[in-house]
Amino acid sequence: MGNFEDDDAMWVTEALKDLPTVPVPAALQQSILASFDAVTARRRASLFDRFRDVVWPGAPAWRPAVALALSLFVGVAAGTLVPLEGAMADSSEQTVSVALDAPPSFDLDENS
Amino acid sequence: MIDPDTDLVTRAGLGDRAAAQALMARHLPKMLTVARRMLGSQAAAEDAVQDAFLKVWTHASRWQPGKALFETWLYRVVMNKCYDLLRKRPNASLDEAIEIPDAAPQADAVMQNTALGQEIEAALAALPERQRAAIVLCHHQECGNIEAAEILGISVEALESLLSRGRRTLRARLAHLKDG
Repeated sequence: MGNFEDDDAMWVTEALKDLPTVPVPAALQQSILASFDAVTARRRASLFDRFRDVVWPGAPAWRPAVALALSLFVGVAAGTLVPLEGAMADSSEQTVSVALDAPPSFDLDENS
Repeated sequence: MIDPDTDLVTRAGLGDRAAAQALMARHLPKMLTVARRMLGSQAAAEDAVQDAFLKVWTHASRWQPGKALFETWLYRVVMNKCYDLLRKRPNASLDEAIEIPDAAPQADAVMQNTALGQEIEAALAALPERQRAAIVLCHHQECGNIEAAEILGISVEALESLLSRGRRTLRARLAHLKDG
């Protein structure tokens, strides 16, 4: 019984060696890699969604974007306009302080 | 149990394209061959394998090494895809799906080899799907009985029974090619 089984097994292994090899088309490889790229991109996008939910839970993406743009605009405007007037006003009041009790840094009698 | 694919799967899960490419290069030829033998059609085999790799990419970031070998798991995914596709075929038996070559003798040796291969493929395709799966895994892919049983989700005894019946049927169908 065991011998018949072994004989059949060897026979089948030999027969299957005559099967033609299966070619791996380059287009299939490219397509599989493209699916990898798509999955990775989707995963990164979902990471962004999770971050957005932490910042502003449940809001559509345009809301934090508008809030960020507005705050940037206000910040840049304030940064460009306000310091100019402030700097002008401050420069007229600037004073130079000289320490009168400091020792002289040169000696007029050094060659005498 | 050391899985040689763990590092590649982990890196692919982190978005490493080179790792994904290496993983694909290592396993695609074997998986495509299994699917081709199971389905009898190159186009259907490519669909099955593409779906299987999509599942790999989706699950790679959650892959837990140590539960099963990656290759065993991938074989199982491909097999399940093949079963799905076989069941979706509308009332078409596998004998109809495979081109059965003309039995007339061919003059050209290359043509003879092709015809021989096609005849063996047709005989294989005519086996019940479980027997075919067992034969392909153990005799064509050289999987051990334990691994093949794990891939098919059955006991080793059940696998041996499938193999025994499959071999007998296949040998009877192809006896005129090899025994004579």
